[in-house]
Amino acid sequence: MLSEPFMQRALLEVLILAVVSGCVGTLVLVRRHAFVADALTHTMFPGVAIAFFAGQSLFVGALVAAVVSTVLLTLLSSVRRVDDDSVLALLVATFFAAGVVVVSRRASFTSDLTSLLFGHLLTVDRSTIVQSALVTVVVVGVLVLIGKELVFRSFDPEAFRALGYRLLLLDAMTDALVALVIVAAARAIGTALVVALLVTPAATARLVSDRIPIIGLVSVGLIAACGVAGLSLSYVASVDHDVRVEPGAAITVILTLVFGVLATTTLLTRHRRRIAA
Amino acid sequence: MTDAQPLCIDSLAVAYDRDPVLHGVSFDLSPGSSLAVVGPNGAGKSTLLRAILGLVPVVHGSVSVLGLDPVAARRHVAYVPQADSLDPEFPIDAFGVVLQGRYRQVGWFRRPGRSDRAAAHAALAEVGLSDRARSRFGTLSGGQRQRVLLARAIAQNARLLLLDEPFNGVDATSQQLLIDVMGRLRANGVAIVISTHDLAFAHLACSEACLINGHMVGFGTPDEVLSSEHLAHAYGPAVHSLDNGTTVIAAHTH
Repeated sequence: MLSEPFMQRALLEVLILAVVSGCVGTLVLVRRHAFVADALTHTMFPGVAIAFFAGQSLFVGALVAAVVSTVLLTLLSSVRRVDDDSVLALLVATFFAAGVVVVSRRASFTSDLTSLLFGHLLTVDRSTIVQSALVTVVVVGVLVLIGKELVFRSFDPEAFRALGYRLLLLDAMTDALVALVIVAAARAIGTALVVALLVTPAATARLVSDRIPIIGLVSVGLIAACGVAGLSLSYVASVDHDVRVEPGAAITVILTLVFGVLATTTLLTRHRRRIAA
Repeated sequence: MTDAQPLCIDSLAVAYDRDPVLHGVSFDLSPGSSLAVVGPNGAGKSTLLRAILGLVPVVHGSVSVLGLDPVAARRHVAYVPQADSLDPEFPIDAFGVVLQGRYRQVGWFRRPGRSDRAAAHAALAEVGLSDRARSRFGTLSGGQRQRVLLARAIAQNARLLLLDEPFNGVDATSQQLLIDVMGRLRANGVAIVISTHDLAFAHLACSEACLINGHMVGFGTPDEVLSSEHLAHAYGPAVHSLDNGTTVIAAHTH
């Protein structure tokens, strides 16, 4: 299976995305930012779509959309009279509609939409892998440099502000990091499924640890393991059984299954302990 | 700068979106003193703390902290929030919370060093929680959480401490411990401002009291300020004097 060059590239891309999504997913978890991450995946969609049809790099399209949506999100969230949920809902609907308008002008509407939303892991090329690797280096670097401030801000924003830190700057950074992961993963996993990499693994890891570095490491490991499993499943289904299974979707389903099993086990263990006590 | 007056407030007025929330506040605080800010809900207690931190717009008068503008003085001021305002599920242990008190000294892009960790351990020991350093913050009792937050302020080496309702949901043991620790800090010249509903605590642990209700009703020693006349002025008809001279406030005003 790994003798195929396209599988080697897909595997490498999955492992790179595991590192970046596992780390940023942990930030999303402690910041309770899952809804924002989900919203950003939708607001990136028109950028990716426009780039796709203009024959430009998806990476550049996603990057531009990321900057625009991050700035809008941060600015609109600071308007006190409008609550954050309304801002998110407004941005999601508007941006997603804009993306669909762009895509629906094409004859190949359905297949294009599918490709942009769910990605094509098996056709990633060398330049996509290089872009993902670069984004990973930048994002993990930033997390290492300002991780302690990001955690402090997430835990106790009042005391954080009282010490003279600026919330707006750090919140914009958080949104930018999330947006960068979506940028990196847009080609391989698609804008709709990337949120699964950001939310599910960290939520699963939280079930097994109370420590942020361990949650991060377990998240990375989970995405890597489920990524390999999803890729293999997709390959075997397609080559041995002639059934087409998109690997991005397979990875998402496996990650969710692992979360389901662990969550159930945790609940049962707690229940038993309560009865024993 | 350590000799500068910890807090000088002169004719302070604060407004949000042109709605005045607090006015006519004037007092000075000297090193080693502790001030109870007392008043009913919505009286402006939190607003006063926020004004001292430079987080709200001052429309009239002035606030000077350690001889500086509040914004410039922030790193010498520690704010201790109510423990139950923080997420109990957050994945952080007691030591991690206390270490946050060192972040301003450590600076951006750097990790806390050996001296920072030593300061955090010493601060945890000060509040009697060395053995709980590795316990997740949310697994501690309300009183222990409040002690961890006080330890964070101690680790910061602040000259002025601002505590927001530190005795809400705190057991008697932790309450006594908090009072003892504040006493030791005051002996070292640290000034403390505490917003509280607890009149008994104000008498017990504070050298000064400031009664507010949208404006300053009185400032002085707790005995002078927390008299039944002043309290009646601030709280209205909910104040009752008992035969033994104790003043009580009906619970529904809290």
